[in-house]
Amino acid sequence: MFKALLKSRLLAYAMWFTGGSRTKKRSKGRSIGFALLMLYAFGCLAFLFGMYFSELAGPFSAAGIGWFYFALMGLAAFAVMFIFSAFMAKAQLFEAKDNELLLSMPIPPRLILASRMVSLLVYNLIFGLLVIVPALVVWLRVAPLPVMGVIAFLLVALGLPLLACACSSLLGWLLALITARVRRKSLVTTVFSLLFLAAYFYGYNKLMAVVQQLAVTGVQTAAQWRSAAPLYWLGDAIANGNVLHLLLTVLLCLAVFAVVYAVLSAFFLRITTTKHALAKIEYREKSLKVSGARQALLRREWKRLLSSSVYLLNAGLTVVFLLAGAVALVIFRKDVCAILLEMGANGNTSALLAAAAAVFLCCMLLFTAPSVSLEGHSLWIVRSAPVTGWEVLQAKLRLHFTATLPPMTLFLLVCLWVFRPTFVYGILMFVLPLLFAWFMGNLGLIENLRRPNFDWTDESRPIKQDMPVMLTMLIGVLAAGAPTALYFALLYRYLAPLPYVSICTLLVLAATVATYRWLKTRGAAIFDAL
Amino acid sequence: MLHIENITKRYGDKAAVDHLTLSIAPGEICGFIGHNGAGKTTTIKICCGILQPDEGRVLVNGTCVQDDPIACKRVIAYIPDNPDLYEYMSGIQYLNFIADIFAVPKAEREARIRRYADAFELTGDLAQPVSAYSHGMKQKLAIISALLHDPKLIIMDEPFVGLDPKAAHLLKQLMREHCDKGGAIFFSTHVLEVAEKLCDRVAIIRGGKLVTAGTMEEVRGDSSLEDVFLELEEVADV
Repeated sequence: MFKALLKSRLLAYAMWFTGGSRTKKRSKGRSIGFALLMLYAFGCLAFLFGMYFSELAGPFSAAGIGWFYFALMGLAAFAVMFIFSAFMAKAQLFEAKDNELLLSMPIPPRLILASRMVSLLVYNLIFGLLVIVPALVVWLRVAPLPVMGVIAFLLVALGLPLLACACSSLLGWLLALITARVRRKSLVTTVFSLLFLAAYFYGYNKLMAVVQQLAVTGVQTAAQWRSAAPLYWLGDAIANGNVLHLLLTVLLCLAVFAVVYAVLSAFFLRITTTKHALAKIEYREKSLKVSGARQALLRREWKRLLSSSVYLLNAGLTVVFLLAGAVALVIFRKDVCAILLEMGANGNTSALLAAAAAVFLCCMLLFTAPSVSLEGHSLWIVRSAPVTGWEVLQAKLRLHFTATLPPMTLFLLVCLWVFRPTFVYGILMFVLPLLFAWFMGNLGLIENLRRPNFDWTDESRPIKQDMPVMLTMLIGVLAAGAPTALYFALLYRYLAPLPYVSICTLLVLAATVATYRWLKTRGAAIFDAL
Repeated sequence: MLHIENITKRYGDKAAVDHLTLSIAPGEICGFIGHNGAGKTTTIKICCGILQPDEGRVLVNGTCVQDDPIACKRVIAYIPDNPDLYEYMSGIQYLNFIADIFAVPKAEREARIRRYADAFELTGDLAQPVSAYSHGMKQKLAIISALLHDPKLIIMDEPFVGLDPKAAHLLKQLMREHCDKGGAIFFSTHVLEVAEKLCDRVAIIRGGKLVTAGTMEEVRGDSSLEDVFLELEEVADV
């Protein structure tokens, strides 16, 4: 029974990894292609972590504080696993749509929970490996590990996800408890998520500085950290092959996981089935607001977006960054201008750099990438209504525009005020990011029309995990990154920035028009056949 | 009102609907009966323009659904067997959305919402999010939303599932009223007693093919609809 549950969860991951779906057969070549794409994305992340650890490996190895290096590795892996799985735990463990179906079957609730926690564990393991494997590779380049240390590393690699899974499951439970008692669940979850993200980005911003400081003051800091027992045990087990510390570390991970599992098992049925009686909203008949079909469809899209914290945060992070960027630019404009001046950038070049930054931020504009899939099983409503596929798709694009254009415009206006470029540069600074934002909207919708998924039980699947979202981001990054890299690597010798950016703007315009036309013709036909 | 002309729909090698022809005139309630997997839902979805047939066509009031789906959908209301509605909307928001899509004038939409919500005893729950509704309440909301734009043709897939006896009785009354005013109803059901009492015409489908169709008297004769249905199933098995 447990095997069957686990198999279905892991199959979902395998299909996610290879871009498959339960309803559509995919060719082997395509599956391999998607898998390679995922590996590439993971490889980039692993490379990033490797870079950070490479700052520490040499100095720590020379100072003989290898345990501290591996303690930091463990801490970083735990943090990454916890951050990436915290909100997923709430959705997957306690809010999955098939919870009630499974609970109605002769399956002990603890087994349902166990299958979900094991699949969350696999997720944690993947992200944990992204940190610890590069850390190990970097260390081995400067110093060897004892045999027992390698064994310890392997056991810690399996043990740390247990700890992270336990902690993220607890946080997920806490969030589920809180949101069960509030009416505006998505708002509460969104606020929590934003606070979490703010803390994360604050920490991330300080990270490189902290890493560099650690490289210098490692010995003193390590002496202070010796008393942090679990971290010291972990580090010492790997660096020095200390068997006792290895046993303590592994036992700690197992014990925490076991305790959390036992506690959650005891409350699982209650958490998933108790519907807290919120006060019933009194219906008072009042004059209804009448609007046309177009407005109604757009309002529907907005309601969908605002009802889901996962959708809001995943798709709208760029909006947050644009607004934060505008505020930061106003506050720190003198510092920013000074740094750019040091780099040799004048007002015009700074404006183009700002445009480039805005373009890269657009790569995370994911309002449209999951929007067709999010129709889910209620697709019949628009399909049986007297609206064309194009009208439905237009509403999705209009959501994208109305959510993106105001913050983007504000950001660009602030850049205009701070950098004061000349007329032509100012126009380009505005036009290029706005066009690219439009292109990203079109692209997301195209990808989702080509690979819709209506069979999800947990909405985080189409919003965060499905191929359309991944591909949209990847294509966006390539479309923004390739011309940038090409210019700085080669073309800067032959072409001034203005003509180059002008050419790029024209290319983006062409891509935007082409994708828009595709949506209007082929895209609408695809939607009408869904 | 509804003319299904030789429609065929294949999934791979299997014909889910196989050269099916059926007509429903204004004022008629037509029951569509068949075993599970017979092709009822596929036929219904083709009539609503949700699926495209591989062969044949469907005409609603003389207009081909495949050629002008929008015009046809304006006069059709569809209620699926398991109505997944927008859980993020409240009941009244959902009804107002549907009314906007079908361009129902303000006074009429308010009057109809009031009338049907009161009749189905759903008025007190209209401000609640659809996510808080039971299956039966969602079914009622789907029925009200179908009646909002006063459709000519109502197509329903097992509409009585999940309805309490009072709501089921009310639905039957509304169906009869609708057809008495010149509308038509095409619905699938497994509840043969309801079909017998309510339907003017009945069509029985098996393995994608229409086995028999006609008025209730023609199909049933002197026996019950259940006997006729089971007999046809036995003959087909042999």
